[in-house]
Amino acid sequence: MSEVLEGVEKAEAEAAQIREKAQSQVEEIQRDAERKARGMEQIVRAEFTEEIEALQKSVESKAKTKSQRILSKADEEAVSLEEQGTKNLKKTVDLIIKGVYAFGGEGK
Amino acid sequence: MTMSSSAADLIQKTIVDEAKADAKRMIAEAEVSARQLTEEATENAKTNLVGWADRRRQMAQASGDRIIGKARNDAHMKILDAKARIINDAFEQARKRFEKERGTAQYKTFLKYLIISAGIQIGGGDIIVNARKEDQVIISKITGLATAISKAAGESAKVSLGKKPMDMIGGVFIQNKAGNITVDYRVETLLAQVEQQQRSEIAKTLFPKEDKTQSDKE
Repeated sequence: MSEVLEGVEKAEAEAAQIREKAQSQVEEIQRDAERKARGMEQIVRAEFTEEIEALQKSVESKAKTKSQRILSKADEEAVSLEEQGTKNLKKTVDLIIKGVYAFGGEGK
Repeated sequence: MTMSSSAADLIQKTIVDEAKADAKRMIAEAEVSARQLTEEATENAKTNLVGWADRRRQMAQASGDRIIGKARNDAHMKILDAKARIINDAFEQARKRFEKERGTAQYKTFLKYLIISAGIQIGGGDIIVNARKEDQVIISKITGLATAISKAAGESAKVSLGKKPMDMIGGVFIQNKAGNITVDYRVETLLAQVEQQQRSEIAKTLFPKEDKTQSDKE
């Protein structure tokens, strides 16, 4: 009988050890989760930052492409204006001269 | 009372197995709880940071708008600069044309009518005509100035040349004897007035296609 009791005591000791070890693991899991939770804002902020930086890069890249188109179009328009201006310069000078001479017209 | 060794072994095994099952359950529960804690922390962090992230996103979008806005402004300035350069060129050409025309009959008539017009504005009286040295010679040969002014102003008029010639492109700078009433008909002043008053017409003459494009845009 004493052998049986001894066996039970041994088994209970082993069970206690198992539970103790499990409790230790539970505490470790809890500590780990709490540590993660505390650092979560930093992780989420880093994720947001990465997403926003990618967005900014994409927005700026598109804006730069569009800017180049706008400026190229302006260059073309400026060239067209130069061409038109050169072509119509004499006519315009005539108009200006006529405008100046018109100031003497009131005395007629 | 005796107990077989197999029954004792069974009891021992049961005790250990129960402990193992308890341990497994404890760990599983801890893991679920840890997962919940992490998920809650993630949600809380997102909630806390959503405003900050939205502002950063808006700033990112705004940086694109700024780039495009600057390009639009630069493009607008390029076109304005091109127009201004050409308009200035036209006025420079007009100024040079005037310098060449100063000896023509049309210019002589122009001076005559400028003087009469200014004399009428001053209201007759002693009219002093300031002009270029070369134009003083032309003006001195023009007749009927005082008569024309007197007739239109209803006041007797006397026209004389200023003592010193003026440095100008052409035209005249008229004043009464007291010098408190002046009429600036210098060609450079008239050119500036033409530019101011006829800017739109000059632009339409220089850039007819651009004007059409504007109409199309509207």
